[in-house]
Amino acid sequence: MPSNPRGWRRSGPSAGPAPNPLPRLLAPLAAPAEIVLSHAARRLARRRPDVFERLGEARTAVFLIVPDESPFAFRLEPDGPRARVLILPRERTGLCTTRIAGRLADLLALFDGSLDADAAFFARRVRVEGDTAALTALHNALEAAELELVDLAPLPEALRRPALAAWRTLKRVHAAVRPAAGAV
Amino acid sequence: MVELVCPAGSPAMLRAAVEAGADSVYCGLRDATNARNFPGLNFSPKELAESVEWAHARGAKVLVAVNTFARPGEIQLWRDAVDVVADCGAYAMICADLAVLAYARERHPGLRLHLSVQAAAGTPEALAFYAREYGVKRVVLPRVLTVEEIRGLADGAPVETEAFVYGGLCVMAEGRCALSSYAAGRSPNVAGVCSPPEAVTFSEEGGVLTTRLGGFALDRFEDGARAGYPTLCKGRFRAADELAYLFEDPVSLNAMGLLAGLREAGVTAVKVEGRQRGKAYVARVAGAFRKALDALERGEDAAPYERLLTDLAEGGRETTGAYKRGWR
Amino acid sequence: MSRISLALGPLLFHWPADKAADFYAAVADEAPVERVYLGEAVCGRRLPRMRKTFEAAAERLARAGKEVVWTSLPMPATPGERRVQEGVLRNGDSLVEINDVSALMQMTPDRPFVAGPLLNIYNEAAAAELKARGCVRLCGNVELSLEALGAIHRGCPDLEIELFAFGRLPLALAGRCHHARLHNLHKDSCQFVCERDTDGLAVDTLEGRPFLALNGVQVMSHGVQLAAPPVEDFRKAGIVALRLSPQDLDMAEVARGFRDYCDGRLEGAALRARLEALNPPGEFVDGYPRGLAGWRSGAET
Repeated sequence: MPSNPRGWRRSGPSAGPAPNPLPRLLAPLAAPAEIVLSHAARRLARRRPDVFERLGEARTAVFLIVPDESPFAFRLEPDGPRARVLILPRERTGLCTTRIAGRLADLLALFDGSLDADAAFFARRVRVEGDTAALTALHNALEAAELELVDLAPLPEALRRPALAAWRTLKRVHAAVRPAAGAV
Repeated sequence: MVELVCPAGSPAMLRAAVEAGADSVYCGLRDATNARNFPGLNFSPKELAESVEWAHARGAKVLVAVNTFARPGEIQLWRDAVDVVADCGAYAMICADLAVLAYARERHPGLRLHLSVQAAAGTPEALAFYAREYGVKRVVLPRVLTVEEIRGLADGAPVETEAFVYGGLCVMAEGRCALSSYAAGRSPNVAGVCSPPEAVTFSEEGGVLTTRLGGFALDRFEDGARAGYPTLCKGRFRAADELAYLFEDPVSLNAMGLLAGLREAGVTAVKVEGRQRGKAYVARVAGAFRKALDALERGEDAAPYERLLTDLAEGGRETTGAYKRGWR
Repeated sequence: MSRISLALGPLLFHWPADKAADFYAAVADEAPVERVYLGEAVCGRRLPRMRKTFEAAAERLARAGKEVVWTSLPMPATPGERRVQEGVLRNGDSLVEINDVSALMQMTPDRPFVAGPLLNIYNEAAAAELKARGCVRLCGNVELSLEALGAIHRGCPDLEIELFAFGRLPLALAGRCHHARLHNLHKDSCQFVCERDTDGLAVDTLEGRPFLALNGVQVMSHGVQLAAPPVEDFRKAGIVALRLSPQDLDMAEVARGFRDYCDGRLEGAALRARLEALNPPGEFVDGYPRGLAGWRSGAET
């Protein structure tokens, strides 16, 4: 758990630290995805220190990204070189600073800027709860950064295949668990 | 030729604005010295210097806002900001506080001074005061004036004038509004934020979204209804047994249709609000106003370009604000 | 230890002429205030209606030994208002209070003036700029905490500082009149509907929580400021006078309460109780003097 020197408010359905409470069956499949995403976040922190500088106090915040169609949620802790991403079942996500929910396609489009965040929020396509200041910092930092999805996964060739395989497996498991969820 | 002044919340946004046709861009430092002090927004001194160089190489001017009012006992932060602006080679500094103006006049007499809308200078006497005492060269006019009133001010004024034409509308006299600090402890005047994000909460229950500032409910949106950021003056309140948008509907300013009138009234520059709105926003707005202004220069109508921007408006609706008298 | 003086702020609401006349007669006869600010500090349209009443009140107050200070408009909008403003400020016989930067063009260093709470003076350097132009007293902007006022005092020690200690807080001014708009009227033909709300018109949130108050073009707090920290805190902040802003209740009693309080005859809680008994139009607040959001109250548990 990263330290929380600024005392960011945390809220959520369950108290306590965020463990990795995926069912034993799924845990080995989620782990590679987590490693890949966390690695990418830390790589970004090294390549683009300006983005993390912009985050300011929000570096110690915890963002929960919850795609509507997915039984999983992504827990992002952007704390620079200690940045990590955890994948958790949506019911057991632990405390967070800010929770962002919406259709996965919209969340991804938000990230690369092809969907205007204000428009998405006002049109209620994306729903936000919790600390708005932290989210504002994340939004403004990403906005200024001119990142694309590929920046989040700029992996050496050796890691790309396993990463893609892990992602495909996750999707298959998701489809098995929630067959009526629709396309991801 | 009327100057088009566009917002820049980041170096990326600055580039987008200039590339889309802005003549000038305005920005701020990443602290309380400017009135858009949102987390993650604005420029470091290094980014500012680099952006000034980039913009000047393309013939665009950079204006830097140090337009909040300094905190007592902490004036050094504002003086440092003035020094940064003077050093980076920006075209002008936009300010409002007498303390900032006095320091600039004393320490950096060559620094061009523009008066922010936060100074609420809306009479010939006010304009004359700032011009005479501090050598202010341009005044950004309060958004509560009509086009006729602007014409009256611009005519024979000792300073250039700049008028807002697009973006978020401030209903109250800017720089003199304490609504935000009453509810949430921070206002644009000293802290540089209105309806600060840390005091905002959104709560959803049974499909109904309630927005609050400092615990005070500001609006409520039924399932799927298009929501808005809980800016205080845009809220819905109860008075005399009526629940209504007492101060202003959550709409945006779009005075493109009045560009010709403003041009005739003698304004030097037109300004787009929205440093916090992002690159895509500024590219579209700058592009549309560039086309409109160029059309006016050619003696054509700007009307065809008005509808280019409607979907960007908050609440999905627009207004010409105070510019036409009927608004009062 | 120097005595903290009391000042009656300008009447911010639009009262019928006879009500205002009676009010000032009572102030002249009964209120232990040293200074009274008179005149219109909100809306230029009210001026012509009130001029005679204010002038008569000025005479009555002067006879009773009160110092009269003429206030002026915060946002003179029309050429007519600017002319009247100029007339008010040309008054050589007494101190004037300015509430708008445009008035500064008329001020010269030999012409002392009071800087009103509606000006954007937030720090000692800005205060010094005004002092150099003849300002002798600053009534701090309501957003300024006691601590902030203290810093201004230390940075600009010869400037008198007055604190807005009682009354609904002036929070914002608009170009359009929202009060008139509520009655489906336009500012230019408002029929002076603001006259109906002698303490301003209460504005609640959609959840029914009291929040603000409408007073013509001005938006005020619903809460009534009551700044009653230990009196020593006033002195530390360099405050020499307390401004009591008139509400529709026994202001002479308010002044007596503050007089007893400043002289050490009354504790804060007792002052509160005494003023509560006068039926104020809103809950007591003191967030601003304590450096917090304006609606906060020290009496919260």
